[in-house]
Amino acid sequence: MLSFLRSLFATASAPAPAPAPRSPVATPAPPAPPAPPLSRRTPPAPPAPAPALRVFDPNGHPAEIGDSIGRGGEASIHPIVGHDGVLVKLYHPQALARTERTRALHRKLAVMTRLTQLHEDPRYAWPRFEVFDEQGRWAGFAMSRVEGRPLTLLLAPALIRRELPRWDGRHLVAVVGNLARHLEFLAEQDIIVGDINPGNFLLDPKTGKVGLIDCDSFQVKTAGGLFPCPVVTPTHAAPELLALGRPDAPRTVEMLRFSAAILFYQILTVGLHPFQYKGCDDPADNIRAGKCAIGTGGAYLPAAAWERYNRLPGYIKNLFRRAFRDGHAEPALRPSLAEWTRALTRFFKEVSRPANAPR
Amino acid sequence: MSSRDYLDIVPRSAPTDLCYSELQLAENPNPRCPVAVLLDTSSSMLGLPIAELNNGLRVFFCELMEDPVSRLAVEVVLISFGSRVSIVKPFTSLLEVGAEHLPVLQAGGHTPLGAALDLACAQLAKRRRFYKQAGIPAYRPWIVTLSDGAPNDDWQAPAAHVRRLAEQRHIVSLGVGVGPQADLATLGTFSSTDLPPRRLAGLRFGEFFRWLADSLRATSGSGDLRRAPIIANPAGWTQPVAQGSGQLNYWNTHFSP
Repeated sequence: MLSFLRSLFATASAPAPAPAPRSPVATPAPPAPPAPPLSRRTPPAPPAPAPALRVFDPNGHPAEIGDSIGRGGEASIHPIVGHDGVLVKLYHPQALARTERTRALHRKLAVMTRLTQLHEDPRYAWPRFEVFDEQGRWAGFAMSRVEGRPLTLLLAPALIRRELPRWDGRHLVAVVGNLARHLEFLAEQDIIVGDINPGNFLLDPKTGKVGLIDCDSFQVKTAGGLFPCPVVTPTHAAPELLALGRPDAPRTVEMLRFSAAILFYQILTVGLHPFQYKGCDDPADNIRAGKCAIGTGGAYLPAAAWERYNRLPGYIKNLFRRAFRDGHAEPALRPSLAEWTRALTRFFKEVSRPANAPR
Repeated sequence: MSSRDYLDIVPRSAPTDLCYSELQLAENPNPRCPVAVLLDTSSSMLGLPIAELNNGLRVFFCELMEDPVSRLAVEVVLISFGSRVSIVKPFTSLLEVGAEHLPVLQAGGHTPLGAALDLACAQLAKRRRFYKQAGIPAYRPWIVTLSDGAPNDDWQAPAAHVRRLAEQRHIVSLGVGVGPQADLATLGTFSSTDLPPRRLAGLRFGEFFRWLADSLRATSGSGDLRRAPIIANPAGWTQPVAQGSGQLNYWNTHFSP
């Protein structure tokens, strides 16, 4: 039977796996022996090495998973031993116990894994197939591995200066342009990145290319229906989405335009948030109230911070005004991703112009 | 302003003409997550326990600094309580030079938990005032207490105060018992109601602090300043709850909504 992993990621030395039955009756690993009582003199014995954890593809072929490279509240991310281009997202038992949400995720993954044209796209950690545990229960999914450093590195001068010392304005504009293009590309296919959280993006320090992770949170619309985005980051959510009060509310492209503009603002100003200024405890509250830092003349920010916004050219600032002020109560006024892409392409050309070129 | 002026948008060095609060905001505008870690360094921790605790603290700071989300958000004050109560590492941004420098804790003395709780509350209140002055938003602060024995100072009133703050959702309070003499009942008097204290398995401080860093990272990356904390899977460091204890195991059910 076809091994998903072997067919997609042929490795010369992969041993032929014995086809495991779909629901093997495997005895669970025995629990680790209890730690001996504490004593000042004898060190506690090292814990017995845990048995190698395995997951199985939809046809029952096993793969060994390595130590987690990321651990969150719901799941952990693991590499697959012997297959460098693949990661698996494994959900904690507590998360799987939330049956309605798990079922919704199943339904969406069934659709996403069939969008094979996105499987090979290096920009997206796209879900490729589902994986199962030793007892044949659904455990998570396998996805393409996207390389890069977290986008969050860009969100504070103290951090970007240390981690990306050669980056200047050109790199920031390039990143934002790439982001706008990726979001537009997906939106054109009725895939809306419903949770714009800086932690969901990676970047290539050399080229400014952007990769999207946490793809299972995307909202996907096909002939079969709408598969929602189950999570929201309130500091980056459109006011009408916050008003709905449900993290899995259907996303519109207008909501995406608002959220994306917040992320663009943060990157271009090295960390400032358009709805955060002194006197406000929570940017999400300011989003709800429409209290934007633009238009306050930077009154609540130190000049050293506010001037980072003021260095932006007028046509870029205009887009932010339309997104956050005019477009706050009127989503139709928010600039589209295509408008952003055009403006950022122009901005990149202008900021890259050699010093002695005619203006 | 022409587009060329944008080229050197990234400040080459920190501005020198700002006061501390303005500097913090200019250099890192992101919301903070302040954490007070209270460490029992009484004489019962002598030997391997304090050595493992020191190792665990190194793991903690290493993990926090390695991930940009936690590095930008989490700010830690380390308070030890043993022969006296001291701030062994004051609140600092993890972006500052020397942020990773850690003192070596020594064990000795008794267990003045009450004084430690009072100091933690005062420190968190002071940090909160600083954030307000600077215009920096903040997540709910955490108080994390590790203790291997029963307290022997006037601890009831400070514990009740912390309990009230936790119930009003002004702080997250978490207690961890170390070793067989640890008094989980006392730790429970000031823990958040949906986070009952747990016993550390052996001396797995490293695992515990890694879990704490994961939880803080997940919480501070959520962009949801009002939400309950996100608790990562604690299986790596907790001792299993005794079978048939009849006690609802919150750790296995508490989750991000």
